[in-house]
Amino acid sequence: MPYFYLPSRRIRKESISLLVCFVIAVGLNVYAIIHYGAPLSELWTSILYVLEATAVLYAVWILLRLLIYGFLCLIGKQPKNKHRHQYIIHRHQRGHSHHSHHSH
Amino acid sequence: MGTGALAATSPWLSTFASVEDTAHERCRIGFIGPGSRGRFLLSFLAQNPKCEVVALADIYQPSLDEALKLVPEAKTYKDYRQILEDKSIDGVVIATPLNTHFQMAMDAFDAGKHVYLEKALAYTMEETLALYRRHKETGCIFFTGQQRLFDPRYIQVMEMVHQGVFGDINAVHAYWNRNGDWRREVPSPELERLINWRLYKESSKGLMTELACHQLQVGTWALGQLPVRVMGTGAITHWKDGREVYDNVHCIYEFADGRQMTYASVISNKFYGLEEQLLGHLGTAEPERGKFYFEDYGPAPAPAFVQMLMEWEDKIWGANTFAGSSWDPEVARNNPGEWILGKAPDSDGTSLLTEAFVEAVCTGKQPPRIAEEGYYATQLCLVGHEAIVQGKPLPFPEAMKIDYEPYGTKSLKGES
Repeated sequence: MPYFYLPSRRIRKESISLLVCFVIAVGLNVYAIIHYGAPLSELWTSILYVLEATAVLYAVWILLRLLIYGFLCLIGKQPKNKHRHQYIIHRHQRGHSHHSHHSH
Repeated sequence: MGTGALAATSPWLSTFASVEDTAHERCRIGFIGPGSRGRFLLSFLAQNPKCEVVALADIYQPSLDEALKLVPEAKTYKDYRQILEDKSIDGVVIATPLNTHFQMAMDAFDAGKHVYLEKALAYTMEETLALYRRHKETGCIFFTGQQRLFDPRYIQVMEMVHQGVFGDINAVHAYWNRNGDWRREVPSPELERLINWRLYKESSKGLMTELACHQLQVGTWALGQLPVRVMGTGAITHWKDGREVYDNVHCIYEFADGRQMTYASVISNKFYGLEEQLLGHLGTAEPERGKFYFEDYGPAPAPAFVQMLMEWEDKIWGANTFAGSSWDPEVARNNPGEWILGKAPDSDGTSLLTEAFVEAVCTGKQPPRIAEEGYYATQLCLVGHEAIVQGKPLPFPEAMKIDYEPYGTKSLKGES
C-alpha cells in the first residue's frame, strides 16, 4: 500500500492557500461588523465562526482543484507535474523514503 | 418623582398640599345611591376621620340596609332631595344610574353642595356640558369618579410618558373584556330595570359609559390632546337575553396629528382582561397591569458574521416564500417588563380619590383640571357611543369644547 508524502514546497503552497482563506474570512467578518454596526469586539468573539469559514473556503478550494484536475484527466490533458512521482512511496521504500527524498 | 413634574402631569394632587392644615376639619357628606359601587366608595369615606357620612338616600331599601352597616349613625331617605335640603351637609356623593346623574347633580349644585359624581357624568353630551357650566357658575367643588387620576401607577407612568421615556406614543389600545352577563340578581321582576339599569337604553349607554369612560381618559391624558374624529361599531352578539345595550363595541379615536386610540370591549371573553396599552416607539406601558416594557428587550442579536451568512442564505434560497419551519412569526415577545411602582399594584386610586374629595370639601378649593378631565372623559365615551349608533365617523363637536389648556381646547363662546 502506498504512503503519501508531501514535500515542503507543497506544504508551503497549501499553507499560503490556507492563509489566504483565513484572510478572506477575516475580511468578511470585518465587512459584516461594519455593515451590521456590530461591536469591534466581534473581531475576537467571532473567531470560531471565522475559523469555520476558513476551513469551508479551503475545502472549497481543494474541491475546485480536484474538479479541474479530474476534468483535465478526462479530456486527456493530464497536467504536467514532474515531481508527482515523489508523492507516492511504496511500502518497501518506506524505511528509505527520507533518504530517497534527499537523494534527489 | 419631583414635585414639579407631578404638578405638570397630575396637578390635581395639589389637593393634598394643605392636608395638615385640615387635620382638625370635619366635613359632612350625604350619600346618594349606596348600591354596590356606592358602598365601595362609602367604605373609604366611612374610614376617613375628616369626613362624616350623615345621610343616605336610595329608593331601594336593601341598599340602604347594607350601607347602614358601614355608617350606622346616618339618616336614611328615599328621596335624595331631602339630603339637599339639609343645610348642615357640605357635599354629596352621587353613585346612581347614569340617567339620574344630571338632575341630581344639578339639584345639588343649586343647593350649594359640593359634588362627587360617578362617571359617566350624564346621559347626553348637552347635559354633561350643562353640568360643567353649573359647576363653574356655582363655584361648588366638582369631582368625577375617574379614580385613575389618583392611582399611583397611572401618575407615575404619565410622568414617564410625558418625559419621553417610551418615545413617541403613536397609538393607544384600550380594552376591557369580561366573560359574564353583567346582570345583578333581581328579587322581583318589577325591579329588573332598576337593578339591571346598565342593560337598558333608557338608563345607560352600556359598555361605553360604564367602562370606556375610565380608559379613554387615560389615552387623552397620555397624548395631551383630544381626538378630532371617532368611528365605531357595536352589536349584541352573545348575550341575547333581552338587554338593549351592546355587549360588543369597537371604536377608533383619531387625533389631529394622525395618532390613534382604539377602544374595544367584549363581555363574552375575558382572556385579555382590561388594559390601556400606551405604544411608544421606545417602549410600551400597561398601567393596569402596572408594568412597562422597552422595545430593545430580548436576546442579543446574532454576531454580524452569522447575520451576514443568514442574509446570504436568504438571498440564495429565498426567505419565507411559504410558511415553512424556518418562518419566524412576529408574535409578542415574552418580555417580563418592569413594575411601574417597583412592585405589583395593590390599589386602584379610589381611596385617594375619595380622600381628595374630602380634602377639597374641607378647604373649599377646587383642584385644578379634575373636573375638566372628568368632563372630557364623559364626552369621549358619549361621542363614541353616538358614532356607533349612527354608524358613521363623527367629529368631536366644537360646541362641546370647553376652555382647557392641556388639550388646547376652547369653546366657541368661551367658558367662564
